[in-house]
Amino acid sequence: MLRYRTVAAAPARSASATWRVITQLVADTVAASAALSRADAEQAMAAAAPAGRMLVAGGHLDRHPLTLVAGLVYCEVTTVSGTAALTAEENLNPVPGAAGATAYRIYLPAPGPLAAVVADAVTGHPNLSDARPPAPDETRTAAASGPLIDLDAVRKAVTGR
Amino acid sequence: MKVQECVVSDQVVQETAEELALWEVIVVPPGVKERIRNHSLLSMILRPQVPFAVTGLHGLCTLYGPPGTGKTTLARGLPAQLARFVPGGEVRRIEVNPHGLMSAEHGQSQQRVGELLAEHIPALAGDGRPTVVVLDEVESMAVARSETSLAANPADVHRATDAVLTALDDNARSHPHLFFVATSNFTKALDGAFLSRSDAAILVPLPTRGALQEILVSTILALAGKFPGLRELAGSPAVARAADMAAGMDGRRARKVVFEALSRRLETVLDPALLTGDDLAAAVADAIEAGQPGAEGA
Repeated sequence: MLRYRTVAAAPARSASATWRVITQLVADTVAASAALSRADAEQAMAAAAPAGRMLVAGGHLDRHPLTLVAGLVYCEVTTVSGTAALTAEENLNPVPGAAGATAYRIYLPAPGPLAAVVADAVTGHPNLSDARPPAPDETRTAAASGPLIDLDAVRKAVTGR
Repeated sequence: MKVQECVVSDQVVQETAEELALWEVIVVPPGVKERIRNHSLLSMILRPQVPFAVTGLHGLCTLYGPPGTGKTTLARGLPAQLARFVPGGEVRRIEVNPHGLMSAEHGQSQQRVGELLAEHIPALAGDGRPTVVVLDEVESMAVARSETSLAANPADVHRATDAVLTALDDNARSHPHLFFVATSNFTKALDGAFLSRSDAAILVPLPTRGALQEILVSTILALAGKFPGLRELAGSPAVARAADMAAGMDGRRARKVVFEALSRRLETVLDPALLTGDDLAAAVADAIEAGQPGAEGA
C-alpha cells in the first residue's frame, strides 16, 4: 500500500529534530510487526542519521523521498521546508500494513552531492539501502494468510449437519 | 476531536449468548438477517481470491430505513453471527462515530475521513482478522453531493465524500478482511456513488403488525423471567390488540411502550407482574396520540 508522510523541517524543526521525527515514524511503523523490533529499526535509523541529517538540511528530502518497505507498507517520507513548514499538516501516525512483515528495508535517496555520504551510511547495514526502491506491489492484501472463512463450517450450516 | 476518538469501540467478538442476543431481539421481515450475513460471508470468501476488477465487491453493505428499526443493532450483532464461520471463532468489531470527523477547518474533514478509513481502521485490523466496521448514520460523512450546494455548503463536505469513496476503493482492493456495514435513516442524503459502492442496500422497514406483536410479547416474556406473573399477559389477546393499535410504530418504541405501561401506575412500578392489558393499551394509545418518535399513527 503506497502511503505518503510529510514531515515539517526547517524552520519548524532543526535537521536533527526532523530526523528524530522520521526515526520515530519508521520505528512505530515497524514495531507493529511481531517479528520485527522497534529497537532494531531505531538502530538502523541511527546508523543512517549522519547522512539523514544532511539530506534534511540540504532540502534533498523535500524532493527525493526516504522509502520504507515493510510487509504491505510502502511509505514515502518527504520533508517540507521554508514557509510551508510552518503550516504543514503532518500525519505522524504509524503506517498500517506492517503487522505481517518479517523484514523491512529503508531506502535512502542518494542525490549526487551526497551519494558518497549515503553510501557510507548504508554500507554493511542489512536494513538500509541507497538503491532505488522497488515499485510498490499494489496487488498484495492485508488479509490473514489463511482463508478468512471456514468453508466446512458454511457447508455444515447449509446441510444442517 | 482526534481521528482515533471517532472509533468508539474496537472489540474482538465471539459467539456468546450476549452477542447473539443482539440479532435475536430484532424482529425484521424474513430474509433480512440472512441477506446481511450472507453478503458478508460471500464478500470474505470471494474478495481474497478473485480480483476486485472482476467482482467489483467493495465489502460494503448499507442498511437503511426509518429510525428505531434495529439497523445499528443488526450491524453490531453481525460479528457474532460470522464467528461460527471463521477459523478461530473470533471476529473484530470496530464502531465509528462519523460525526466527529467533520471539521470546521478548511480541508480538515477530507483529511480526517481519509486518515480514519484508509489508515487508522486498517491499522486496527492489521492482524488480518475478519473485521466488521460499523459506520452508524453514515449520511453525515457520505453526503449526497448532488443534493448540496457549493454556495451553501463548504467545498469541504464535497471533498470529505470524495475521501470516503477513495478510501472504500482502496480498502476494497487491499483489505478483503474488512467488511463495512453502514446505516442510514436518510438514503436520499447519501451520495449516489457511495450507494453504488454498496454490495447490498438492504431496507430495514417498520415492523409489521405481526412483528409488533412479537416485539411486545418478547419484551414481556423477557421481564417474565424475573416477574413470572407476566407470562399470562404475554399470551393474552390483550397483546394482540395492543399490536393492532400500534400500527406504524417502530420497533424501539414498541419495546419501550411496555415500560411506559409499567410506569403508568406505582403498583406496577413496585410489582411489574401486576401489569394488565389495559395498561398496555393505554400506553400504546398515549404513544400514538402524543406523536412520539416512531408513532406514525399520530
